[in-house]
Amino acid sequence: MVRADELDFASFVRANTAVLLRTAYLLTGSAPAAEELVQDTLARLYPKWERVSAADAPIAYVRRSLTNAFINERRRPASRVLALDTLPERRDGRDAAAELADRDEVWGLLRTLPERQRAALVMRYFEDLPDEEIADALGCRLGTVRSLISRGLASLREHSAAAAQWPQARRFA
Amino acid sequence: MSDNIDVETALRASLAARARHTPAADLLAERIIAGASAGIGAGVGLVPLRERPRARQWRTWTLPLVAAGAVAAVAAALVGINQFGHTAGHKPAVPLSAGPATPTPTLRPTSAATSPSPPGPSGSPAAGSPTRPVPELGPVPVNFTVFDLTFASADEGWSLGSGRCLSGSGLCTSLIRTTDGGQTWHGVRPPPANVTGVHGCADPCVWHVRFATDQIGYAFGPAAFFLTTDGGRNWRRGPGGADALETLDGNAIRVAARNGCSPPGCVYGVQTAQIGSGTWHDVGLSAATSGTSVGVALARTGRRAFLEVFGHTAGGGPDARSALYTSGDDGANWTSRGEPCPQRGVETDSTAIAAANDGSVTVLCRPRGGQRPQFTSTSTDGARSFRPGNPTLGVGTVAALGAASSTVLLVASDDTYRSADGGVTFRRLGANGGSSPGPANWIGFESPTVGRAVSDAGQAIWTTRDAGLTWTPHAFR
Repeated sequence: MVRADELDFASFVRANTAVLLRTAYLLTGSAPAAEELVQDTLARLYPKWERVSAADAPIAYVRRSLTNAFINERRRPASRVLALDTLPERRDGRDAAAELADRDEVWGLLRTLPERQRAALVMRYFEDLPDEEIADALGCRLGTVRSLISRGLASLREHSAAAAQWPQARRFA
Repeated sequence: MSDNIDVETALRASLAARARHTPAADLLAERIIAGASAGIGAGVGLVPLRERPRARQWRTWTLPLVAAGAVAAVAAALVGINQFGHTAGHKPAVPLSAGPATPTPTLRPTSAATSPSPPGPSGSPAAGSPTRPVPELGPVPVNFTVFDLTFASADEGWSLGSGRCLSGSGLCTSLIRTTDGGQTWHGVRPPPANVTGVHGCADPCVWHVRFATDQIGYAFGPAAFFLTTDGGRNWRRGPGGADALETLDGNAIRVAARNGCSPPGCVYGVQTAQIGSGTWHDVGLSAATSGTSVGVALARTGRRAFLEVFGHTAGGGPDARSALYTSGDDGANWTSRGEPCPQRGVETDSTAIAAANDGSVTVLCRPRGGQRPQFTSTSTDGARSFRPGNPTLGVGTVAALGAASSTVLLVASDDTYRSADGGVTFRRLGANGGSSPGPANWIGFESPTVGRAVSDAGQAIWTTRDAGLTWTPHAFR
């Protein structure tokens, strides 16, 4: 006998895995890590699915759990042994505006931001979520969301100037 | 940057572009549901994804002919996949292609399928294969994204991917070809199948391409299998699919899940055939899998073939170990070598494999628990024994493993790292302005010196001609 909550869970997973996976991919920058994040998130929620499905917006509930899982996982020191290295290495004369106009460079810069800033930017500029929902997902106040986004954008601007010093070979995209 | 608007515009565009590279969700969803239903995995309840040597499109790149062997790592979906034909307990996200049990006359034998000159001991490319006109040359599609890469000789290579459709909008399956060792690429007729990001990769969905010669090639996924014997002018579909396939020495080895890829895992079978032939022969693989496997990786060098079958690690799953099978006769006979990684006080899983021209094979070892750093382990005696390197690779995701020889190893994570001492020490290639593929998704070597790497998200193919010391990109965007 298949339980009703199992059917509900299956229905939710089939309907929302794609959107959750996109968010996870943009957060982690890695397909395997994104799959793992989505699976782990749903695995943790499955035992208490009645509570999830009773929420006003189950997808918001799951997104919040996924975002927290991402932030918490990335906060573990052990998970950063092979950290991103974005130090400028050589100047090649390109200006910052040209650098930032390069979409993939923006992506590279985004991955260097702190997790909460990155999550806030992804939810704002990819999912187009209002501040209230971002605050809910991150478990913080509205003012904090605005601060995270503001600081994230500032970091992108700042690093884009430094990125003008990247070697040409890295800017193939 | 002048103001926030520019930043915001660029960021929005970047995220939208990157989101298109998100892996397909259908199979993951079914796997999650299946795991929940089965209650597998203590405390979690699901079959955890393992660190696969490139799930699907990213960790499975291989350069087939290459004696250098590449890794064809494939993560098999636990549910709803049929390779040789099966029915799963759950509705598959991808329609299944039914196929008879083996031996399988999958495709009509082609006329005089020529066997390529086998690579020499060093895995040099097949010599003397006649050069024929490249069919339907065209430009490389806009925004071409590399999913898989195959070289049949030093000059001739193909890459399967997606690109902007030539007419209309959206993404289309694309196949590009080089006849000058990767310096220039042209669009050619792709197999009549979907790839990731194209129509949800609905059936027929292919993840990989392999060419044994300039005429004989394969395109395949877990539930789809195509063969061309005329250089890609025509592709014919056969039953079933393949999780991994490599060609060398005039034969093809095909690995696929059979009869019951359902929780907690798959049972894999091996078949061999002459290249270009549609007649496949079952190969005995004693206790190959027990139904708890979640992926395979196949690598070849000379007459040696290495098949790693990955066990799932549900709830720590101590009994679900990976196992390495070796063949010294082009896949005709196999011997189980068990888990090749040394167990140093903690269960350690092999998560990637790469064979090199000198006949060596290297595996990436990942201790469970995420607390101890990873390391490589290399065998030069056909996987009878392994010599581990130092645990210097951290605990983060290692996206690619390549081996130019038993001593020159490359791994990629946030950058590409190179070892010249068999994994004892690694040097970051991008340091001090060095050329580097960066966070590559795949690395493979065609010879002791010539190798390729695919950069993050399939934007470029990098080539090295000095065993990974320096790299040159060919960008598609």
